Formats: sequence, structure tokens, C-alpha cells
Amino acid sequence: MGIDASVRPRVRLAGRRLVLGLATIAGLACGGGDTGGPRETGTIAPLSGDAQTATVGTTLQPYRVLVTDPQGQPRADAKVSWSLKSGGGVLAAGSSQTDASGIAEITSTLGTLAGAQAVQASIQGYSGSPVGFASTGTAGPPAGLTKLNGDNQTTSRAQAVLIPPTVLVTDAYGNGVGGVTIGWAVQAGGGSVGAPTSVSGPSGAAAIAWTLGATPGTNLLAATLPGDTTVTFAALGVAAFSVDGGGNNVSDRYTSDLWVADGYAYTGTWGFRGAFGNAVKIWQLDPGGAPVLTDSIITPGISTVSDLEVSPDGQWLVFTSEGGANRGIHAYELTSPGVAVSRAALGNTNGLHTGTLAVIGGTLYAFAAQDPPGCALKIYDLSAAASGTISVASSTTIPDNYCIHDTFVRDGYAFVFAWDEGLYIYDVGNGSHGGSPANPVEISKTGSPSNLKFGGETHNGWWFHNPVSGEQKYLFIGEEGPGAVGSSSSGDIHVVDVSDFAHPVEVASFRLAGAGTHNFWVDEPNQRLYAAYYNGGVVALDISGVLAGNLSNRIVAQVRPGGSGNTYVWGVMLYGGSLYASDMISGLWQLGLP
Amino acid sequence: MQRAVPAGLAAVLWTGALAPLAGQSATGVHLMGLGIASVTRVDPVPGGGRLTEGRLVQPLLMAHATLLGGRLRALGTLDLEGWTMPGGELTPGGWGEGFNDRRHPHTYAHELMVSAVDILGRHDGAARLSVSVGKGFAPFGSDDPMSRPTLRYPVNHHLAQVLERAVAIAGVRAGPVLLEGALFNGDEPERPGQWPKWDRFGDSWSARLTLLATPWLELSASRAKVHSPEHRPGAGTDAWKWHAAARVSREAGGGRLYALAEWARTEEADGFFVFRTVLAEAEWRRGPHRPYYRFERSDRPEDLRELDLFRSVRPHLENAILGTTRFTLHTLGYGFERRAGLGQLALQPFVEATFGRAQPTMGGVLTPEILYGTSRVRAVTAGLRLSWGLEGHRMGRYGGLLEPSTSHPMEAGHGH
Repeated sequence: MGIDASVRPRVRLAGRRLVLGLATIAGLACGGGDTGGPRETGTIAPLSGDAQTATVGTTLQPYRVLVTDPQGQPRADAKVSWSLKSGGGVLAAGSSQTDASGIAEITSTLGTLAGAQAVQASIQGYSGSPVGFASTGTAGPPAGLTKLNGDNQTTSRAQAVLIPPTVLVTDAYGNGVGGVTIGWAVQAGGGSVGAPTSVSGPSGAAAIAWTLGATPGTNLLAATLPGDTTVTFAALGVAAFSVDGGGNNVSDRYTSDLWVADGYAYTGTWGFRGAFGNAVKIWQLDPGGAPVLTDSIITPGISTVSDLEVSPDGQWLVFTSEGGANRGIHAYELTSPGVAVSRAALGNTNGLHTGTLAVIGGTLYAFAAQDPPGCALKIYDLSAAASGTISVASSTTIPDNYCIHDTFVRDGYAFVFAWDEGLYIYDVGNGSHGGSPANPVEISKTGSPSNLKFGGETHNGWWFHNPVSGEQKYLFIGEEGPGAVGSSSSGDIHVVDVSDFAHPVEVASFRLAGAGTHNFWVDEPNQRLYAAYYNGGVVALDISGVLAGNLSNRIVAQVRPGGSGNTYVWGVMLYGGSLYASDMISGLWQLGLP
Repeated sequence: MQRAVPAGLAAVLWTGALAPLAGQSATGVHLMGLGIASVTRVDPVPGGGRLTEGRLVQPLLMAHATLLGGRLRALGTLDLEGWTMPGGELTPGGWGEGFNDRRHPHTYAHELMVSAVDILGRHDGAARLSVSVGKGFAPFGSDDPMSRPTLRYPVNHHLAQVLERAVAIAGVRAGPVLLEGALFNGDEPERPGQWPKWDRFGDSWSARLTLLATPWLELSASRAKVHSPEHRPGAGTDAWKWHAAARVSREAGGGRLYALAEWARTEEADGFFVFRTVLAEAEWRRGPHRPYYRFERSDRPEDLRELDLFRSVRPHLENAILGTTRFTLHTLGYGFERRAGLGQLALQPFVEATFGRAQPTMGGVLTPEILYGTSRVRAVTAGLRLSWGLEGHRMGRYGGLLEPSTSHPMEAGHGH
């Protein structure tokens, strides 16, 4: 659950009020009182002035008490002590005398902080002492307007920004003012707002839905407080992918990863949506139309298909699974594209979070992430899968700090993305350090729980071979921050210079406000990175040239294919000129490139 | 009806435990015990449908020893839930330690605490300073639900208590004001036989300020930072916790009234997640009659589930949740108590019903409609509660600071 920033001030105020309330009660209970004068007895009781509500800084009607002697007769000239117990403000005096009617009073002015004010009247030794009064200061008239959230966002043209622009209405003392109507008007870029006005809530926050104009470029939105105080929000509208087909085509389960090969797409399933994620869906692609579901592989005894991939030769569909007795790695032979026949499986009692295929020395291997406890990089030899055997080539332990989440294998190197443990780089067959799948040799590791790197929640990556520049220096790393699956996410893309494998150094990063990244695909010839961005949909970044610092100006396109509330993209893959996206909520999409 | 309780064997042990040690008064040893045989029916349960189960729950054996005129105290609580209910107790909305809609079994060594009471004697005037160390509750929040009227644990157990930690507590009482501070390990247990991760001692802290406003009204406010509670190695997010409560215990209407109102809030992942709760409960005891009622509105984070939908994936390997469910529940109960054994043994048949709603807050993919097929919550329990010497015990309070003086350490109605 993502906390709505507009809620925070209200929550804090409520907490403050509670503390003040407790302090008031405490003060009332602790007693105290006047110590001067001869000891007399009698009774002190509240008469009037309790439970007033007024604007902060206001002088209240006097608090009044009645003082009587033991016979119940009014006592004149008794000295009543007054004290302010909580809530700020000012009392006119520290004490007052009763009049002939036995009445003493004090004038109080509320403080500038909205909330409770507690005042106490006391006479030592008197029954009923101390007497407590409580009043409430409310915010004054609106005097200020500030931007609270949602400024400087980027999204695709003609789409709503992820974070609704939110303003805070305050009085002259900074207290949030509720019930104020804010006017919203598009100033530039076209587009529209959900309504021309919205009303501030109790905390003083007011928000509005904002859909950007149809033309890429700068969009401006003005929020106006009655009296002409205006603040302006900016947003950048970028090009959009076209939604060419698919979507809303998997309603029985939540969708996980995808792979596309030879005219077919394969998608996994995840978690529980009335049914468990024990299915692999097979789709026939149509460049001109929507993917068509042709088959499903159901694996009993698992709850999630965590990752899947087709081997480079198109002969094998391999997937990993979690949850249940049959979790592990599963190999299906593709006897023809889209036709999968089960050949081998190997259980893993922990479950496997991901599996990446690579051919090393002519043998097909799966590099799998073994779940805790006992996290490990598990390398499986698939060379005998056709005869029903999957064997473990090696198992390399990684400390249990949320474990490995993904692995990228290229040129005989394995880049292991291990959450708080950061990045591990192994030679698994390149030969530079004598490694092999049976004996991975660690080249470097970066990060630890006490020295977090790349955001600290290192999840996935892609080692970029730039065919234009010839460089192989950039490793893109995805950070998977906190999120509520289906609605919110966080985490940035970190660009790491791996020119020296022994000393990877972060050189740039990209943040999409209101969303976090997940899996990547890189179109290397065109120097484009496509990133699944959960509730942010799909993002395309220009990764040409030198990458340094903040890459916010490198975004070239975005789309939330299912629209707001129906988009939570897990993975993307480029195939046949289209970008395919697996969305946990809305299924498989076919997108046109911008 | 499912049944997983080796009730016969449990009963044998239980009966033995009820017998007081010879001369316990003279030696300053006080034995306490508790056990509740119950049958609970819940509709709905995860995956839909209804389920009825019988369990022996809260089987506790407790020993409290006093030495040096009450200046040194030891408290041990053996909790056998890991044996009598290893799969948990049906509890709508219940969560924690990998269980969902089941209350998890506690660790066998539920409490093992030693307290030095009023360390400075008269050197600190009227104030009293105590130090407690061992395994037990951190000074945060309200009393453990085991020592409260309702059988069914509240949804907010993990928002309003911090327990089963290796903890060092310093407490001071001056007049009606009581301040406690503690260091402890943040990791919560993962199974009944597990001990705290000793090398994490000190990575978390809590403080509780209590005001004994009147002889019958107690106000408290607590704050805690708990590091990586759900990931034992320590890579999880921190929880920042707040709690405030008012507790009443007094004569009323010819009987005894107990009431508690509490508010708590837990923030995780630097405020990305916020979970809230409000709870109010009351019990009125008059003669053998014990009607009680509890209202709560509490948030539950939804974690990725195993194939057994009552269980969530542990250890964590992500910082995402699947949504937040807000449970608004009413629990009504009635117990009829009979005493024996010089008043130490209490037998209380009871019935208890819970009803309310579960609603998603702020999105997510594991909503009540998906999980249960409905937002409605209903549960009913009938059972027999047996206790020995527990009258007035405040589980989770150490150092004798709630007592008016140290001269009578086992005074009813106070902590240990």
C-alpha cells in the first residue's frame, strides 16, 4: 500500500491531537494547585467556557469556575490558579479571585497550532480540584497554497499522470484548511482535468486527475485558491506506444513473465486469483491482430510460474516455479513452435525465483535463483533433458539477504542480481578467470546490507553491447523497491559502468515518479531500453552515447496499456517489430513502437 | 471438523501442571497456568467456504519466583501451542509469522525474564528503578491478548505488541508516572522452537510512558523502531511503531469493569506502507457472569501466499505486499466462571461470536473478494477455559513497576 502523501499531515495531526488529549487527561489527573493563603476547604467546579471551538489565535469566552465553601455557599476572594496544560496559547493571568458569587474566570487565547487546548483551574485542598477545560482551535481562513505532490512528472501523451497533482491549503499559521474549493485549469499542452474544481480535505490537501494533451511536450496545470493565489504544475508528455492488440485476455490468473519466439508467446502465471499461478499460456501471434491463446500447460503442486524462456535454438521451453511440492525447474521440448511436450523436471524444495538460459560450450544451461533459506545461484545442465534428466552443474551460495532475483548471462559471464547483496559477477565459461558452469569463479561483488548499492534492492539487469559505439561498458540494473502489487511500485534504473568488472561504478540513474521498474529488454541496434514499469506501464529510454547523472530527459515513450488501475507490467520483449508486454492484471499486450 | 489436538496427552500434562508446588508460598514461587479447549467455526476462510476446528489453545505453564524480599524476580512461561496447534488457530483477519487467518503458535519459551526491582532502594527517594532482562515482551503497546477477556486474538496483535524478543528493559517509576525503555532484537520468531537471533540484540528499541492517572485509569503512549521484523537475517524494512491506550479496571455496577481503548500505527519502508488500528474492548464481571465485547478496525498487510492459503511465503524475498485489508470486527462473548481450589482454579465455559467486514484499502491484487469470495466475516467459538492463579496477571509487564510498592510482589492486578 502506498501512502497517499495527502493523508500524512492529517494522520500526524490526529496523532498530535491524541497526544495532547492524553496530556490533558494526564494533567487533570496529576492535580496541583494554589499553595498560597490559609488552608481552607470547599469545592471548585466548572461553570462555563468548556468545549469551545474557535479559530486559532482567537480569544475565547472566559473559562469560569464556581467556588463554594463546605456548606455549599459561594466563597468570595478565593484565589484560583490557572494553568495552560497543552495546546499552546496564552492565559490572561496565572490566577484570579472569586467574586461575591464565588465565581472566578480567566480569559484564554488559543495558540496558532490547530488542535486541542487544555486549561486547568485549581485550589489546593478543594474538592473537585483541578478543574479541566478543553477547547479546540481550528484553522483560520485560507491564506496560502503550496504544491504538495505530483509536480514534474513524465508520462505518455494523452494519458493521466501517475500521481494526481495535489496542493495544500493553509491558513496564516500553516495549518491545513479543509473545505476550500480549488480551481484547476490547464495552462499549456492541452489535455484535461477530472473536474474544474476540487475541495480540500480535513488536512488541507486537494488533488485532481490530470490527463496530458495529445501532443508530446510540456504541459502546465494551474491550481488557484480563491483570491488568485496560483501554483503551477508541470508535466512532460512523451510519445506513446500504440496498443496494437491483446490485453484483458487472462482473467483467471495473474500473469507473470513472458518470452516470444518463432511466432508464439509464452506467459507465466503468478500467485492466487481464485486459481493459483500454475499455468503457462501459449499464444499464437499475429502481426496484424491480437495474440490468440492456443494452449495452456498446467503444473499441479506449484503456485507460481516465476520465469520462463525459450532456448536460443527454439527447441526448449524452460520455466521455473515456486510454492508447492512440485516447485523447481521444468523443461518442455517444443516439437514445433507452440507445441510443448514435457520432457524433464527437477524439484527444488526452496523454489526458484528465476531461470535464465544460456549456451556455454555448446551445452544449454539454466542459471536459476534459489529461494531462501539457503539462497544460491543454481546452474542446471539441460543437455540430457530430452532423456528426462536435468542435473545440477553447480550451486553457489549467496547470503540470505533476500537472495538472488535474476541473472543475466552473456559471453560466459553471469551477472547475478542479489538484492541487498548487490551485484555479483562470475566467470562461468568465458575463460578470463578460469570459470565454468560447474565452477563459477567470482570476479567481484558489490554491495552488502551495510553498504547498499544501486538502491539496495538489486533485482535484474542487462549488460549492454552497443553496436554503434562498440562499447560494452554499461550494465543496466533494475531496483525493485516497495510496492503493493497491482497498484503501486517503486525503484529506479541504475546505470553501472562495468568497464572494470572488478570495480563496477554507478554513473547514472533514471526515476519515474510514482512507479518502479521491473524487467528489461534492450534493442541494442537502436540503442533503446524498454523497461516494464509495473503500474507505470512500459517505458522506452534512449541509451545512446554517454550516460551520466539523471537520465530523466532520456525517456522517449511510455504507455499504460491497460489504463489506470488495470496496468501492472511484469516484463517486456521485442519481437518482429512489436514490443510484447506481460501485465499481471490485464495479460498479454502487443505494442507498436513509437 | 478438522482436529489436530492430541487432547488426551495435553490434558494429562495440563492436570499435572495445575497442582501447586508444595510450599510455594513460603518459597516465593507462584505457579500459574492456562489452557482453553475450544471449537471454532469460521465463514469464510481463504479460498472460500467454511471451516470448523477444535484446538487446545493457549496452554501455558508459568512460574514466578521472588527472592531477596521481592527485589529479584524471575518469570518463566512455557507455551505449548507449538505442540497443540502447530498449524495455528482459526482467527479471521489474524496474521503474523507466516500465518494468515490463523493465529500463529507462540514459541515454547514464551517468557524467560529476570528482574531486579527497586535497585537503588531509598537512594532514589520515592522513585523506583528496575532492570529486566531475558526473553519476553518489549515495553510497547498493550497487554498481551492472552491476558485479556476475548479468546480470539485481535487482528492488531502485531501492531500493538512486540513480543518474544531478547530484551533488556530499564524502567523507572516516580509517583504515578512510569517510563520504560528497552533494547531488543528485531526479528520475530518463525517457528515455536526458535530462539531470538542473539547477534541482532540491540538493533531495535522501544519506549513506553505510562501514567497511573487514578487507581483505576491507566494511560500509556509507546514508540518503537523494529528493524527487519519479518526477515531474520536483517535485510527487511524497518517498522516504526506508535501506540496509545487508555485502560480502565474498577468496580462498577456491583461488579468489576475492565476496558481498553487503543490506537496504533505502524509505518514500514520509510512510510511507503502504513497500517493502522483502533480497538476498544470491555468486560464486566459480576459473580460468575462475564459478558464482554470488542470492536476493532485494523489493517492487515497481504503477503504472497503459499499453496496453503493460510500461510504466506517465508522468508521474505521482496518488499512488496499484495494489498492491505481493513478488518472491521465486532466480537461478543459470554463466560460463566466457577472457582475452586481456594479460588485459584477457574473454570469458565464460554461462547464467543465475531462478525464484521473485510475491505481492501488502496489497491492490491489480494482482495477479500478474491481471497474469500466475500467481504463478510463470521466466526463462532465455544469452549472451556481453565486457569490457575492467573487472576489479574498482566502478561508482558516486568519489574514490578505497576505495583504500588515492592512489599507485596504478587499483589493481584499487577505485572511481574
